[in-house]
Amino acid sequence: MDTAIGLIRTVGKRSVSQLSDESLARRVAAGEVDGFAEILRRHRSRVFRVCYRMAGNAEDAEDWTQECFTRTYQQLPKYNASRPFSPWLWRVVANACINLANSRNRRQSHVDLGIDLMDNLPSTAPNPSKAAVDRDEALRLRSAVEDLSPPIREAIVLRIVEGMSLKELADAQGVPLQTAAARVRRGLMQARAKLEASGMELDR
Amino acid sequence: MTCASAQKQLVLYLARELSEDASERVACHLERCARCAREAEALDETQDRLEQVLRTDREPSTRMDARVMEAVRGMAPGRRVSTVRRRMALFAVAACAVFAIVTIGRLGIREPVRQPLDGRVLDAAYRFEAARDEPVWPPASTDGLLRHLSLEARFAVRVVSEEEAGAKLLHGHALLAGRTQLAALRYDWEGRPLILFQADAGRTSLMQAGTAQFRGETYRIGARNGVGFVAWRSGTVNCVLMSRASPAKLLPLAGEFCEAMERS
Repeated sequence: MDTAIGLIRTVGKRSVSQLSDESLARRVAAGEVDGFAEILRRHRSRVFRVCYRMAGNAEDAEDWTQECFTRTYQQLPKYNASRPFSPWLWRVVANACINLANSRNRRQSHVDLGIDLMDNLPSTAPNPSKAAVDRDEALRLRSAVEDLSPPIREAIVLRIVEGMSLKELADAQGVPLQTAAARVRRGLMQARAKLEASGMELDR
Repeated sequence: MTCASAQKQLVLYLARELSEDASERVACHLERCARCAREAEALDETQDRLEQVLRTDREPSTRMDARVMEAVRGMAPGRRVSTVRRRMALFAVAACAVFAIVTIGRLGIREPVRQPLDGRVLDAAYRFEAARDEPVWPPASTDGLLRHLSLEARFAVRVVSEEEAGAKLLHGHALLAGRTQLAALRYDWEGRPLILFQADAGRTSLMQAGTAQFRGETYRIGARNGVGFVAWRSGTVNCVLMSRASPAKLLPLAGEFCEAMERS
């Protein structure tokens, strides 16, 4: 009996993991809350990384990711399962991140990089002085991105961290393709201008 | 093609997301215009550098997953009913829904989302409350404090006194921690601050933590930065008792508080 129940459970688990995002979303919207754990498992890392670069530190990024997923859950009844799930999810996430960034901007004027300032920076180079320059440049570049307005920062983060095409970016932000391209261009140019203003030569 | 229109399309061109014709027109322009060619190179270079410094392999903690699912379950619709019963209830539900939508729309009330009582927020609230240097509230009437706190916090706060257990009630405050409305009761416990936080159980869920049993009841216990906490639910409020003591030492005291709240 136990073996049979175990087998049923195994089959159940396998079937959930084999379902497409769209089918899972339909089931969750119909009341199968546990299916949301599988949606979370599939998308948590990517959503977190975007939130991490938008929020500036890991602790806030977890709060932001939680907010993104709870909003996703709340809005699932509005999702049209005949359309791909991933672009719809990113639209919810992008919207939530902009709202969170705007609401934080009202409380503080600058995104604080905090304890995660030194993570993931280039540290190995044949020449120690070059490593120091790389590190300095990386910090300035991140700082430049953090000074961008939320929609432009998000466009840069989605394009570069998530590797979205400009078409996907436009869908996520709910703007025309030309607007998405203009945001990326403005973000790149502003980041570069900040580096040049601080006397850092980018081309080597 | 003018420089202005070429520059507008540079990002799409570099991403290879232009049509073949449009791409060819931009390429021709770049061959003739050194200024636009420099800008294209600069954009490409900046994007490369940003890719190096922004890409990350950081992962969220598994605690976050539990928090998401807890929050989602808190928002979940109630027990599912059979199709027949659902059909029978359809008319009543629809009428109620229309009434609720109209009423909520008129009042501008949004459906509450249950916020998990976050460990970091409570930690900060504890430090804030423990550092308060205010005149001691005269506990002549716990009813007065109860009414004041319930009005301020906008939920039914419980005020309990546990002098027999060595916790002397000093005063109470309502405070907003992040987006969570809390009521804080401060006690003197063996010469150290002891804070009992309460939050509306309809709007909050208890944080993920270890569990411990005391007199047959289950409590969530843990410690952060030398501050121990014990959390439980009493009727319509979620409670978190915090002090600079081990959770094991706080647990029996929390049991007394819980039982006093059940009696109140």
